[in-house]
Amino acid sequence: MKLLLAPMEGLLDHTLRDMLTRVGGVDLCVTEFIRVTNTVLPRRAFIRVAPELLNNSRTVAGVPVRVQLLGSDPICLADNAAALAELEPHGIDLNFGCPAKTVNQHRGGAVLLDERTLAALWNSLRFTFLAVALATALGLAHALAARRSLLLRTLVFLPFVVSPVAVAFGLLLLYPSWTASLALLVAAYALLAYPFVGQHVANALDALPPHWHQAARTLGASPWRVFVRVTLPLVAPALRRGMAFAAATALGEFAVTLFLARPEWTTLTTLIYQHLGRPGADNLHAAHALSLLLMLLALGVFVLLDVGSPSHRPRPLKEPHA
Amino acid sequence: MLDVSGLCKRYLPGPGEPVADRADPVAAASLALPAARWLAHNLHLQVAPGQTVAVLGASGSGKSTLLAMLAGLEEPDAGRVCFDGEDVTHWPPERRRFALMFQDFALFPHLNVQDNVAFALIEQRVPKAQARSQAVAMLARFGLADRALSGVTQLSGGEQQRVALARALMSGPRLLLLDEPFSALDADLRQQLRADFARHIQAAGMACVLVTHDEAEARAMGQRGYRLVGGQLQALW
Repeated sequence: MKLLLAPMEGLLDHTLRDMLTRVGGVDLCVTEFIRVTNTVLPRRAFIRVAPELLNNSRTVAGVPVRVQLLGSDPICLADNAAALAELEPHGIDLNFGCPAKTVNQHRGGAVLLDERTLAALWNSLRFTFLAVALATALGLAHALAARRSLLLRTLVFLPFVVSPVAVAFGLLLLYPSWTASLALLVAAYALLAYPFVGQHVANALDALPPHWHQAARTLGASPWRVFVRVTLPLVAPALRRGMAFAAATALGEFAVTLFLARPEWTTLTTLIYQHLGRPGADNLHAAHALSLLLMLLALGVFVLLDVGSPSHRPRPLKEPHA
Repeated sequence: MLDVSGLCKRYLPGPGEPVADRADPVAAASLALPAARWLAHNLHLQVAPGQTVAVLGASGSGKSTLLAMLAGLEEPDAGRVCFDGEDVTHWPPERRRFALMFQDFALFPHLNVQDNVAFALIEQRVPKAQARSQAVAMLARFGLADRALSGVTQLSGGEQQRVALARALMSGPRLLLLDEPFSALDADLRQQLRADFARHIQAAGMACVLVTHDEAEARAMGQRGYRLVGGQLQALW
């Protein structure tokens, strides 16, 4: 068993380290933190806290000493760590998790945990963006193909009736070599989100009179040009609505992320889950704040895609007799 | 010159399709599949440029299918459709330059009046500004220049009909196909537009096939008239 001498701000300075290591039994020491703000600290700043650096990073009794850095800017921390490394310490500890309020006031310690929130937000947004892009292509293709097939039309609902857990587990069994790959994760997201696009577009296509398509063809438009100039603009409101639902689904996706994502790919939903799994009022409050953020995001995406768009919904032409 | 020879098309009703004679309650209630019908059976037709041919027929006789086959929207089972000596039977509709006008006008609701009329020009890669000014000039010939920027849903039935014809003429068609063009309009407007349309079609000097169930309309517009019965054309005048 190894015994480590933990640091304590204002108490465990090099004098106490020296005394305790002379008593014996300690295998390793860590210094009090050296606060890093926005400059690379001079050599003397490191030596003031850890004079052992001048003694080959060991106490007089010969016990190795690690130096601890604390800061909120990763790049500045890295630069200071590099400067410190030139003094050849036995090791460098980075303080990421000091919960003391006096420490956090200056964006040290636990505030770095916010990086996790930002990372989760970024992951949620990029997975959603990729999934909605794929779901849109898939949903459009499905809706167009399903015009002539009742079976295909029914199949669009299949991802709705299967539990996301079953989908994720099934994908893991089917493609074990693709586990924790971005492609599989986005594909799973898209699979669960695309029925919204497919169903909305299929309904809109049904509502289009066939004469519009035929008139465009006889006016010189190829099938592709008819799709671009007539069909797509006329189903655009339904497409946007489907995309909004798909985005909301992807943002709120949980089970698939839990099964298929890498640990570093935390999304907002899995981060909420992690907070709830830990004790303490702080974690509960963080979960509340993240839930609110998630709801606001979903609302924002909805407004952006659906409400904010001008409606070109096909309206019936005026009664000719009127 | 449109030359249709030996055109055949059979209608095979699917199961559950209500094609049984509605006047006959026994047949209507029958679950048996109705027999296939000939919509076109060895059908021949010639139309010269500047000539309008009217085709009369009861609903379900195959009038609209005939136009769809001419336009390339439906494939015939047999026979040929030729134009100016070229066999266009298997050409896609966009290559034929035959304009088809529907009884519901089929104006695009997401485009305004001038963009509806300019639709074919954009497909011919005419620059947008030029296409629009040509469309407005065409609309002026129909007395609709001031409606160029209106939405098509804001037009009256008669105006929609004239926009539909302007749009069809704008594509510079070699053949104009009219499917019950006035059936959705009231009687007064119908008579007024009939003369108006005949004048425009004659001025454009193109071949025209008019399909209708209204004999007065057929006689007013068609230099020749036929009745479509059992998939064949019987000459009326």
